[in-house]
Amino acid sequence: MDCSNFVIKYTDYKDGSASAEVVGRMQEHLSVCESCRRYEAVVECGSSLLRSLPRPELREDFQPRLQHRLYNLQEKRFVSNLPTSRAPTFAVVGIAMLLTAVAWAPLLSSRMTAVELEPIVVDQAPALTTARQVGSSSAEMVGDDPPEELDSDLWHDARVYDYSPLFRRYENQPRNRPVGLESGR
Amino acid sequence: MARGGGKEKLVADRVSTGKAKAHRLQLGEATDSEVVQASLDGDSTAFGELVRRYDQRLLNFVYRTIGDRERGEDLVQETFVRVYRHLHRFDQSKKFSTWIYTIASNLAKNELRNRSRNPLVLFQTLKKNWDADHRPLEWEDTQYKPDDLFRKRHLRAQVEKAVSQLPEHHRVVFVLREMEGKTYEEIADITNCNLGTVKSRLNRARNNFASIIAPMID
Repeated sequence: MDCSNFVIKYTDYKDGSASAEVVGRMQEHLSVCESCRRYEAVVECGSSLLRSLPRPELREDFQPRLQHRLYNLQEKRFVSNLPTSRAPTFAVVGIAMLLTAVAWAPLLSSRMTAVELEPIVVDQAPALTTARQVGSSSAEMVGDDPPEELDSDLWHDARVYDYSPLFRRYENQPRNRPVGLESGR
Repeated sequence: MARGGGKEKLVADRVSTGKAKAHRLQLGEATDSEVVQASLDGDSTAFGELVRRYDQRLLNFVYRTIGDRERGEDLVQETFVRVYRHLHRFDQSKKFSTWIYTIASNLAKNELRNRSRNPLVLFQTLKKNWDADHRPLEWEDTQYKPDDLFRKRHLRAQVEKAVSQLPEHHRVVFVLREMEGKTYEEIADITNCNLGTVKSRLNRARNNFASIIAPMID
């Protein structure tokens, strides 16, 4: 065996995976070759020095940091494994529907109910000439001094029905407020 | 009444502390696969036992591989997080230590790869690796021994430096064998290489290492 063969087979020899025959030849070579003995000594010394190197120390916060990361991981896993894992989606949809209902509620509730009033029986046509004439002229309506006959005859012989300002309160039971014209009926 | 309740609580705490201690001791004596099984069965202290067993060893391995202690610590953390996430996928017919070293080794390789994305560094690395694989194995003793190199501390520093000078793929194999005491088969599993490649790389790494440190050793 020569020196290059010795170096090639050295790993098998050192780690005990070489055959007995190879080991015998290597030992024979070692007994006569100063250079290879030196090589073996250097590798052995280097290995022992390597093993004696101080191992790097972990920082103090290594464990807490790791625990924190594992805790977060566990939380995520727990949430993702929940059978109601779609709960957030449903919750968002539910809240949206609720908000929509609340937003539309006033419109729905303020819808006026249809009220059927009793028919009004009129014997003769009301004389609304004055009022109509006055009402037809917007210029006179907005004038500073309305004619006196308008004041006195405005409601003459006319049936005016109105609802109380609080009609909402009586939404279900609408009331007519006759304005002093009941005798005509 | 309150005092009595406090006493009972103290006693209960002591009992539970004693039980927890006994449980930890029991885990400490268990094999890796038993601890893994306990962790899979929901034992919250079992994973802590795995961390305790491997944190220092992994840090040493990753640090020697990438040469940066702080980054090495981050990678060890990442290793444990991955182990925690994928423990249920671990094939329990295999050795746990091989699996965890494989994860750490892959993370270290990725780290080195990311560093070497610089084209110049990439070229230098490729050339260094090619030279290391194809240079004829030879042994030349320069017999250069400056007096101050015999000081132990300096020698250790030089040995550390020699390891860092090894090509990456030799270094991983060398550290796993020389520092972590792994068998060829384990190294082959960890590095995803065949046995022949492992032996070849280890032999070249030793030769390279011996050439670097020879001048410092009489």
